[in-house]
Amino acid sequence: MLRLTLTAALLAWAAPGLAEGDAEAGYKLARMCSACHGRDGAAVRANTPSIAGLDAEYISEQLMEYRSGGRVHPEMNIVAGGLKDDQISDLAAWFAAQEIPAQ
Amino acid sequence: MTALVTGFGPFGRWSVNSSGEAVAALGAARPGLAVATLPVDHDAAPRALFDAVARVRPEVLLLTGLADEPRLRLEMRARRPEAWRDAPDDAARMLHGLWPWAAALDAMRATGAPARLSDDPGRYVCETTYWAALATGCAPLVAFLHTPPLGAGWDAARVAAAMGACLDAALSATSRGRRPC
Ligand code: HEC
Repeated sequence: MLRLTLTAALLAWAAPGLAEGDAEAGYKLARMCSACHGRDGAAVRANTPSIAGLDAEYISEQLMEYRSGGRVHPEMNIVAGGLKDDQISDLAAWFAAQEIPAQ
Repeated sequence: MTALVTGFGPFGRWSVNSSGEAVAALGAARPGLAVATLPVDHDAAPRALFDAVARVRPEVLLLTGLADEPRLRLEMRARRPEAWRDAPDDAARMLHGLWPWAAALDAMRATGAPARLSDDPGRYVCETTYWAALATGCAPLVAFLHTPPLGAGWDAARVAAAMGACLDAALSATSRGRRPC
Protein backbone atom coordinates (compact mmCIF):
# COMPACT_ATOMS: atom_id res chain seq x y z
CA MET A 1 0.00 0.00 0.00
CA LEU A 2 2.70 2.37 1.06
CA ARG A 3 4.66 1.31 -1.97
CA LEU A 4 1.74 2.01 -4.26
CA THR A 5 1.23 5.44 -2.78
CA LEU A 6 4.89 6.17 -3.15
CA THR A 7 4.90 5.12 -6.79
CA ALA A 8 1.87 7.24 -7.49
CA ALA A 9 3.51 10.22 -5.81
CA LEU A 10 6.70 9.71 -7.82
CA LEU A 11 4.75 9.44 -11.03
CA ALA A 12 2.85 12.61 -10.24
CA TRP A 13 6.13 14.32 -9.54
CA ALA A 14 7.80 13.11 -12.73
CA ALA A 15 4.87 14.12 -14.95
CA PRO A 16 3.51 17.41 -13.67
CA GLY A 17 0.41 16.73 -15.72
CA LEU A 18 -0.03 20.12 -17.32
CA ALA A 19 -2.86 20.10 -19.78
CA GLU A 20 -1.93 20.59 -23.41
CA GLY A 21 -1.71 24.30 -24.09
CA ASP A 22 -3.59 26.52 -26.46
CA ALA A 23 -1.10 28.15 -28.83
CA GLU A 24 -3.42 31.02 -29.71
CA ALA A 25 -3.80 31.96 -26.06
CA GLY A 26 -0.03 31.57 -25.81
CA TYR A 27 0.50 34.06 -28.62
CA LYS A 28 -1.42 36.68 -26.65
CA LEU A 29 0.64 36.01 -23.54
CA ALA A 30 3.87 36.04 -25.54
CA ARG A 31 3.87 39.84 -25.74
CA MET A 32 5.26 39.63 -22.19
CA CYS A 33 8.24 37.71 -23.52
CA SER A 34 8.84 39.73 -26.68
CA ALA A 35 11.27 42.21 -25.12
CA CYS A 36 13.85 39.47 -24.88
CA HIS A 37 12.78 36.36 -26.81
CA GLY A 38 10.78 38.08 -29.56
CA ARG A 39 7.10 37.35 -30.04
CA ASP A 40 7.98 34.24 -32.05
CA GLY A 41 10.76 33.01 -29.82
CA ALA A 42 13.68 34.24 -31.92
CA ALA A 43 15.81 36.13 -29.41
CA VAL A 44 16.02 39.87 -29.96
CA ARG A 45 18.56 40.59 -27.27
CA ALA A 46 22.13 39.60 -26.51
CA ASN A 47 22.65 36.81 -23.97
CA THR A 48 19.11 35.57 -24.40
CA PRO A 49 18.29 32.14 -25.81
CA SER A 50 15.90 31.64 -28.70
CA ILE A 51 13.06 29.45 -27.53
CA ALA A 52 11.18 28.85 -30.81
CA GLY A 53 10.73 25.20 -31.66
CA LEU A 54 11.82 23.90 -28.27
CA ASP A 55 9.87 20.95 -26.98
CA ALA A 56 6.64 22.11 -25.30
CA GLU A 57 7.24 19.90 -22.31
CA TYR A 58 10.75 21.27 -21.90
CA ILE A 59 9.47 24.86 -22.05
CA SER A 60 6.79 24.12 -19.44
CA GLU A 61 9.28 22.48 -17.14
CA GLN A 62 11.70 25.37 -17.37
CA LEU A 63 8.97 27.92 -16.70
CA MET A 64 7.83 26.00 -13.64
CA GLU A 65 11.41 25.85 -12.45
CA TYR A 66 11.88 29.59 -12.93
CA ARG A 67 8.55 30.18 -11.20
CA SER A 68 9.56 28.20 -8.14
CA GLY A 69 13.10 29.55 -8.06
CA GLY A 70 14.52 26.06 -8.69
CA ARG A 71 16.25 27.38 -11.82
CA VAL A 72 17.82 30.69 -10.99
CA HIS A 73 17.91 33.66 -13.31
CA PRO A 74 16.99 37.13 -12.04
CA GLU A 75 14.88 38.17 -15.01
CA MET A 76 13.20 34.85 -15.71
CA ASN A 77 12.37 34.35 -12.03
CA ILE A 78 10.47 37.65 -12.10
CA VAL A 79 8.70 37.20 -15.41
CA ALA A 80 7.66 33.61 -14.65
CA GLY A 81 6.80 34.39 -11.02
CA GLY A 82 3.08 33.93 -10.56
CA LEU A 83 2.39 32.51 -14.03
CA LYS A 84 -0.52 30.09 -13.73
CA ASP A 85 -0.25 26.49 -14.90
CA ASP A 86 -2.57 27.05 -17.86
CA GLN A 87 -0.63 30.16 -18.90
CA ILE A 88 2.56 28.11 -18.82
CA SER A 89 1.12 25.39 -21.06
CA ASP A 90 -0.32 27.99 -23.45
CA LEU A 91 3.04 29.75 -23.74
CA ALA A 92 4.79 26.41 -24.23
CA ALA A 93 2.37 25.43 -27.00
CA TRP A 94 2.93 28.75 -28.80
CA PHE A 95 6.72 28.80 -28.70
CA ALA A 96 7.03 25.07 -29.45
CA ALA A 97 4.99 25.59 -32.62
CA GLN A 98 7.31 28.33 -33.96
CA GLU A 99 10.06 27.72 -36.50
CA ILE A 100 13.52 27.40 -35.12
CA PRO A 101 15.24 30.61 -36.29
CA ALA A 102 18.11 30.37 -38.74
CA GLN A 103 21.42 31.02 -37.05
CA MET B 1 12.38 44.24 -0.03
CA THR B 2 12.38 48.02 -0.43
CA ALA B 3 9.72 49.47 -2.67
CA LEU B 4 9.01 52.97 -3.92
CA VAL B 5 5.70 53.99 -5.50
CA THR B 6 5.32 57.35 -7.22
CA GLY B 7 2.31 59.24 -8.54
CA PHE B 8 1.82 62.61 -10.20
CA GLY B 9 0.26 65.84 -9.00
CA PRO B 10 -2.49 67.85 -10.73
CA PHE B 11 -2.01 69.21 -14.26
CA GLY B 12 -4.04 70.89 -16.99
CA ARG B 13 -7.74 70.17 -16.63
CA TRP B 14 -7.01 67.47 -14.05
CA SER B 15 -7.25 69.31 -10.74
CA VAL B 16 -7.25 65.89 -9.06
CA ASN B 17 -4.75 63.31 -10.25
CA SER B 18 -5.91 59.76 -9.50
CA SER B 19 -2.35 58.45 -9.44
CA GLY B 20 -1.15 60.86 -6.76
CA GLU B 21 -4.35 60.41 -4.75
CA ALA B 22 -4.11 56.61 -4.83
CA VAL B 23 -0.40 56.64 -4.00
CA ALA B 24 -1.16 58.81 -0.96
CA ALA B 25 -3.91 56.41 0.11
CA LEU B 26 -1.60 53.43 -0.35
CA GLY B 27 1.15 55.13 1.64
CA ALA B 28 -1.29 55.91 4.46
CA ALA B 29 -2.44 52.29 4.53
CA ARG B 30 1.14 50.92 4.53
CA PRO B 31 3.32 52.94 6.88
CA GLY B 32 6.55 51.21 5.78
CA LEU B 33 6.06 51.94 2.09
CA ALA B 34 8.00 54.81 0.50
CA VAL B 35 5.87 57.02 -1.73
CA ALA B 36 6.49 60.23 -3.65
CA THR B 37 4.48 62.67 -5.73
CA LEU B 38 6.15 63.99 -8.87
CA PRO B 39 5.36 67.26 -10.66
CA VAL B 40 3.94 66.97 -14.18
CA ASP B 41 6.91 68.44 -16.00
CA HIS B 42 9.33 66.79 -18.44
CA ASP B 43 12.42 68.02 -16.55
CA ALA B 44 11.22 68.29 -12.97
CA ALA B 45 9.55 64.87 -12.86
CA PRO B 46 12.71 62.82 -13.55
CA ARG B 47 14.66 65.05 -11.14
CA ALA B 48 12.12 64.48 -8.35
CA LEU B 49 12.17 60.76 -9.15
CA PHE B 50 15.96 60.57 -8.93
CA ASP B 51 15.85 62.37 -5.56
CA ALA B 52 13.34 59.87 -4.20
CA VAL B 53 15.33 56.94 -5.59
CA ALA B 54 18.55 58.24 -4.01
CA ARG B 55 16.74 58.53 -0.69
CA VAL B 56 14.93 55.18 -0.76
CA ARG B 57 17.21 52.97 -2.91
CA PRO B 58 14.30 50.78 -3.96
CA GLU B 59 14.55 47.26 -5.29
CA VAL B 60 11.05 47.56 -6.67
CA LEU B 61 9.89 50.80 -8.32
CA LEU B 62 6.30 51.29 -9.40
CA LEU B 63 5.66 54.54 -11.24
CA THR B 64 2.04 55.56 -11.73
CA GLY B 65 0.25 58.28 -13.67
CA LEU B 66 -3.17 59.28 -14.89
CA ALA B 67 -4.57 58.22 -18.27
CA ASP B 68 -8.05 59.05 -19.50
CA GLU B 69 -9.24 55.46 -19.82
CA PRO B 70 -11.63 53.70 -17.44
CA ARG B 71 -9.26 50.90 -16.48
CA LEU B 72 -5.75 50.31 -15.24
CA ARG B 73 -3.03 49.99 -17.84
CA LEU B 74 0.26 48.34 -17.02
CA GLU B 75 2.92 49.73 -19.36
CA MET B 76 5.62 47.27 -20.41
CA ARG B 77 7.98 49.63 -22.23
CA ALA B 78 8.96 53.22 -22.90
CA ARG B 79 10.18 54.87 -26.08
CA ARG B 80 13.04 57.33 -26.16
CA PRO B 81 11.48 60.81 -25.87
CA GLU B 82 13.69 62.33 -28.59
CA ALA B 83 12.27 59.79 -31.05
CA TRP B 84 8.57 60.26 -30.33
CA ARG B 85 7.84 62.49 -33.26
CA ASP B 86 9.76 61.16 -36.20
CA ALA B 87 10.43 57.52 -35.64
CA PRO B 88 8.62 54.22 -35.92
CA ASP B 89 8.58 52.13 -32.74
CA ASP B 90 11.76 50.19 -33.31
CA ALA B 91 13.68 48.21 -30.78
CA ALA B 92 16.65 50.59 -30.70
CA ARG B 93 14.47 53.35 -29.25
CA MET B 94 12.77 51.18 -26.67
CA LEU B 95 13.44 50.20 -23.09
CA HIS B 96 11.49 47.52 -21.28
CA GLY B 97 10.33 47.35 -17.71
CA LEU B 98 10.73 44.18 -15.69
CA TRP B 99 7.74 42.97 -13.68
CA PRO B 100 5.72 39.78 -13.25
CA TRP B 101 3.29 41.13 -15.84
CA ALA B 102 0.84 38.22 -15.87
CA ALA B 103 0.71 37.88 -12.11
CA ALA B 104 0.24 41.63 -11.66
CA LEU B 105 -2.60 41.74 -14.17
CA ASP B 106 -4.35 38.84 -12.44
CA ALA B 107 -3.83 40.41 -9.04
CA MET B 108 -5.33 43.74 -10.12
CA ARG B 109 -8.31 42.03 -11.71
CA ALA B 110 -8.81 40.02 -8.53
CA THR B 111 -9.52 43.31 -6.72
CA GLY B 112 -12.41 43.79 -9.13
CA ALA B 113 -10.67 46.40 -11.27
CA PRO B 114 -10.47 46.06 -15.06
CA ALA B 115 -6.85 46.13 -16.20
CA ARG B 116 -4.78 45.49 -19.32
CA LEU B 117 -1.20 45.43 -20.54
CA SER B 118 0.02 48.20 -22.82
CA ASP B 119 2.97 49.06 -25.04
CA ASP B 120 2.13 52.76 -25.31
CA PRO B 121 2.71 54.96 -22.26
CA GLY B 122 1.30 57.98 -24.09
CA ARG B 123 4.17 60.24 -25.21
CA TYR B 124 3.86 62.68 -22.33
CA VAL B 125 5.48 63.18 -18.92
CA CYS B 126 4.53 59.63 -17.91
CA GLU B 127 6.63 58.19 -20.72
CA THR B 128 9.49 60.66 -20.17
CA THR B 129 9.64 59.59 -16.55
CA TYR B 130 9.36 55.86 -17.30
CA TRP B 131 12.15 56.22 -19.88
CA ALA B 132 14.31 58.12 -17.39
CA ALA B 133 13.81 55.40 -14.75
CA LEU B 134 14.70 52.62 -17.19
CA ALA B 135 17.61 54.44 -18.82
CA THR B 136 19.29 55.12 -15.49
CA GLY B 137 18.55 51.72 -13.95
CA CYS B 138 16.67 53.22 -11.01
CA ALA B 139 15.80 49.77 -9.64
CA PRO B 140 16.05 46.11 -10.69
CA LEU B 141 12.26 45.95 -11.04
CA VAL B 142 10.52 48.89 -12.70
CA ALA B 143 7.04 49.23 -14.16
CA PHE B 144 4.60 52.01 -14.95
CA LEU B 145 0.90 51.79 -14.11
CA HIS B 146 -1.66 54.12 -15.67
CA THR B 147 -4.65 54.85 -13.46
CA PRO B 148 -8.17 55.91 -14.55
CA PRO B 149 -9.60 59.33 -13.63
CA LEU B 150 -11.49 59.49 -10.34
CA GLY B 151 -15.28 59.56 -10.55
CA ALA B 152 -17.44 57.19 -12.62
CA GLY B 153 -17.03 54.29 -10.21
CA TRP B 154 -13.41 55.00 -9.34
CA ASP B 155 -12.37 56.46 -6.00
CA ALA B 156 -8.86 56.71 -4.60
CA ALA B 157 -9.38 53.63 -2.40
CA ARG B 158 -10.35 51.44 -5.36
CA VAL B 159 -7.39 52.60 -7.43
CA ALA B 160 -5.10 52.16 -4.43
CA ALA B 161 -6.31 48.58 -3.87
CA ALA B 162 -5.46 47.64 -7.45
CA MET B 163 -2.15 49.53 -7.26
CA GLY B 164 -1.26 47.67 -4.08
CA ALA B 165 -2.06 44.34 -5.75
CA CYS B 166 0.18 45.25 -8.67
CA LEU B 167 3.00 46.08 -6.27
CA ASP B 168 2.51 42.94 -4.20
CA ALA B 169 2.79 40.76 -7.30
CA ALA B 170 6.30 42.14 -7.83
CA LEU B 171 7.24 41.85 -4.18
CA SER B 172 6.21 38.21 -4.01
CA ALA B 173 7.90 37.40 -7.32
CA THR B 174 11.18 38.81 -6.03
CA SER B 175 10.98 36.91 -2.79
CA ARG B 176 10.11 33.67 -4.55
CA GLY B 177 12.95 33.89 -7.01
CA ARG B 178 16.35 35.28 -6.25
CA ARG B 179 17.20 38.91 -5.85
CA PRO B 180 17.87 40.47 -9.21
CA CYS B 181 21.37 41.86 -9.69
C1 HEC C 1 13.85 40.50 -19.49
C2 HEC C 1 14.18 39.51 -20.48
C3 HEC C 1 13.32 38.26 -20.57
C4 HEC C 1 11.95 38.19 -20.62
C5 HEC C 1 10.93 39.33 -20.61
C6 HEC C 1 11.64 36.79 -20.75
N1 HEC C 1 12.78 36.05 -20.76
FE1 HEC C 1 12.90 34.00 -20.87
N2 HEC C 1 14.93 34.10 -20.67
C7 HEC C 1 15.65 35.28 -20.57
C8 HEC C 1 17.06 34.93 -20.36
C9 HEC C 1 18.19 35.92 -20.20
C10 HEC C 1 17.12 33.51 -20.33
C11 HEC C 1 18.34 32.64 -20.05
C12 HEC C 1 18.29 32.41 -18.56
C13 HEC C 1 19.17 31.36 -18.01
O1 HEC C 1 20.36 31.34 -18.35
O2 HEC C 1 18.64 30.54 -17.22
C14 HEC C 1 15.76 33.04 -20.54
C15 HEC C 1 15.41 31.69 -20.58
C16 HEC C 1 14.15 31.21 -20.88
C17 HEC C 1 13.84 29.81 -21.09
C18 HEC C 1 14.79 28.63 -20.97
C19 HEC C 1 15.44 28.39 -22.31
C20 HEC C 1 16.34 27.19 -22.30
O3 HEC C 1 16.93 26.94 -23.36
O4 HEC C 1 16.45 26.49 -21.29
C21 HEC C 1 12.50 29.76 -21.38
C22 HEC C 1 11.69 28.50 -21.69
C23 HEC C 1 12.00 31.12 -21.37
N3 HEC C 1 13.03 31.96 -21.07
C24 HEC C 1 10.70 31.47 -21.62
C25 HEC C 1 10.20 32.77 -21.47
C26 HEC C 1 8.81 33.12 -21.58
C27 HEC C 1 7.69 32.14 -21.93
C28 HEC C 1 8.71 34.45 -21.34
C29 HEC C 1 7.45 35.31 -21.28
C30 HEC C 1 6.47 34.91 -20.31
C31 HEC C 1 10.04 34.95 -21.08
N4 HEC C 1 10.91 33.90 -21.17
C32 HEC C 1 10.35 36.28 -20.83
C33 HEC C 1 15.17 36.56 -20.64
C34 HEC C 1 13.83 36.91 -20.66
